[in-house]
Amino acid sequence: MASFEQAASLAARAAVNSAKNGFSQEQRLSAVERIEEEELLFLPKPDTIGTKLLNMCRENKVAAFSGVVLAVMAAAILFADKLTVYDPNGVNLMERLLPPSGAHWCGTDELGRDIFTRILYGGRVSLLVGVIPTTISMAIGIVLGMVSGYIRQTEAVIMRLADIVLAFPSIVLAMVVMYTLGATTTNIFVALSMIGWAKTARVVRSQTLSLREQEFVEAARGMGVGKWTIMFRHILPNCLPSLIVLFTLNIPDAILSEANLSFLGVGTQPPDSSWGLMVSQARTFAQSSPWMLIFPSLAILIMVLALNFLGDGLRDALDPHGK
Amino acid sequence: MLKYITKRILVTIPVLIGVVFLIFVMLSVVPGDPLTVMMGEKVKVDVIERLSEAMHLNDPWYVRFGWYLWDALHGDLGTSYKLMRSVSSLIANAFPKTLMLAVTAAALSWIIGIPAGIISAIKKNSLADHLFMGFALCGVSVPAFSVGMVLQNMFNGILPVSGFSSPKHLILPALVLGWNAAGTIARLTRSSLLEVLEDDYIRTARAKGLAPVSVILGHALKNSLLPVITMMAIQVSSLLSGAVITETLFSIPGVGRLAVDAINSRDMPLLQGTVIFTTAVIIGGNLAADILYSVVDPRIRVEGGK
Repeated sequence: MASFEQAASLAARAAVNSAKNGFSQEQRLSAVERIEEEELLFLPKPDTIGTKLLNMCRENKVAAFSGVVLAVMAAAILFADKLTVYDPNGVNLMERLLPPSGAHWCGTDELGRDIFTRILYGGRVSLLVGVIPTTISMAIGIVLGMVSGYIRQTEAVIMRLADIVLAFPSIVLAMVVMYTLGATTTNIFVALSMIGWAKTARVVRSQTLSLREQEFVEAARGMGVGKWTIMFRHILPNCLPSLIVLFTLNIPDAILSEANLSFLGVGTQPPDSSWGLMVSQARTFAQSSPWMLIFPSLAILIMVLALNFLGDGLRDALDPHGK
Repeated sequence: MLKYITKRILVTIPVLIGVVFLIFVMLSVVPGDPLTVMMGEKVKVDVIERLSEAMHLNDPWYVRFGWYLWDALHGDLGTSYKLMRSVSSLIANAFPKTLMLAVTAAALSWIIGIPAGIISAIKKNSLADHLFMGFALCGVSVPAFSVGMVLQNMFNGILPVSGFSSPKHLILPALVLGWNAAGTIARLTRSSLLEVLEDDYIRTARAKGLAPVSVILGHALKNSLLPVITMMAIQVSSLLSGAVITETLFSIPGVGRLAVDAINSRDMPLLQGTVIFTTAVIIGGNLAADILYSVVDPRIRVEGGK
C-alpha cells in the first residue's frame, strides 16, 4: 500500500515537473517510468516513433519495400535530367507513335516525344501535387482541429464548416473551385488544400477532445500554461502518430484528384505534363498505341499503391486503433 | 428513436443551406456576364435590361441568394443558359441513368467485395488473402479513367464502349465503378470480421464445439457487417454523385456528365444545379446510413440520443 502511494506521489510530481518543462505525454510517461524503474518496478521504456518505425521495417516487408520503391521513384523524378537524353517537350514528328524500343523505353507519343522522359518530368507535377496541398491542408486542419477541440466556443463554427466541405463529393467541389479560379498548377494546390483540411480537422479534433481531459494537460493548465502552448507543445506531439499515417494516406488521394481534374480538362494544362494528363491525352491513341496509356497509368498505380501499403504499415505500427 | 431521427434530419438543414451558399458565392465571383454567355455579343440594350430585371441580375448578391434559395426550395434550380431548359428537368432526365449505373456498380461491388473480405479474414495471411487484398488495393489505387480506357480497348467490338441505349452499355462502366467500390468493401469487411473474431462470445461459440462455418456465418458475420452496411449506404450515394469521370469517359448522359458539360460551356445555372443536387444526394445518403445504422445497432441510438 505504501509503495502504491509512493508511486502515485512520484507520478504526480513527474507530471507537474514535465508540465513545467513543457514535456509531451510520452516524455512524461517515460519520466514516470524512469523513476519507477529506479525506485520501484522494472518496466521497459515505451517505444519511440523511431523504434516503432524500425520494428515495422523488420516485420512488415511490404511496407518497407514500398518505402524503397517510393524513394527510388522520387530520386528518378528529381534527377530526371540525368536519366534521359530527351527533352520532355521536344517534338520530333519523324518518330511519332513509336512502340517501346531500346531508344525509347516506353515508346513515343503523337508528337514524337519520348514517353519515359515525359513520365519522369510529369512525375514532378504529380509528386508536388501529392505533397504540397497535403502539407498545406493538413497544417490548416491541424490548427482548426486543435482549436475547435480545445476552445469549445469555436467548435460550432469550425466543425459546421468542415461538415459543409465534407458534404461535397470532393471531385465535384475541386472541379467547381478550379472553374472559379482558372486551371493552373498553382490553383490545383489551392483547390486541393481548400478541400483537404476538413478530414484532418475532424481527426485532430477528436484526439484533442480526449487528450484535453488527461492529467498531464490538466497539470499543465494548473501550472498556468497558456492555451496555445498547451495545444502546440502538449497536445500536438501526441497526435503525431495518427498525423503521420494520415499524411501518407492523403498524398495518394491528392495525386488521384489531380489526375481526375486533368482528365476533365480543369487540371494541369499543356505543355506542362502530369501523369493524369498523359493518360487522358492517350485517349484518342489508346487503341493503336496502347503504350501511351499503359506506362503513365502504371506510374500512377505503382506510386499510389506504394503509398497505400506504406500508410497501412505505418498505421499498424504507430496508430493501431486509428481507422 | 423518432427523436434521434428528427435530430439527425434537423442537423442536415444548416449544412444543406451552407452548401448552396458556398456554391452560389464561388460561382458568382467567376468573371463573365451571364447574358453574354446566354445570347452572344449582339443584343439590344433594352432586351438586356428586361432580362436582367427578370433574372434579378441587378440585385446585390445576397438578394439573389435569397431568390435562389427560395426557388430551389420550390424545386426550381433556374434555367440553363445554353440549353434554354429548366435545370430541374434536365437533372430529372439525367438522374435515372446515373441511378441505374450506381445501383449496378454497387450490387457488383457487394457481390464481389463481401465474400472476398470474408474469405480473406477467415484465411488470414493465406495466398487467397494476399491476392484479394492486393486486388482490392489496386482498385482504389488506379484512376478510374485509366481502368476505363484499358477496358474500352480490351472489349472494343465485343461490348459497347460508349453511349447508353441498352443494358449491355452498363457492363463496362459498372465494372470500372464497381472495382473501386468492391476494394473498399472487401477491406472493410475483412478488418471488421477480424476484429469481431477476437471477441469473447466467439471464443465461447468455438468452445461449445460449433463448427467453424456456423461460428462465422451464425455469430461473427452478423456483427461484423454493421460497419459494412453503413459503408454500403454511403457508397451508393457517392456512386450517385462521383460517377463524373466514368460518365464522361463512357458518354453516359447522367448527372455527372451534365456537370462536366456545364463547366465546358460555362453554363452557370446548370453547374450550380447539378452540384447542389449531387451534394444533396450525398447528404441524404449519409443521413440514410446513420438512420439505418441506428436501426440495426441500438447502441448508437442510445449514445446519440443523449
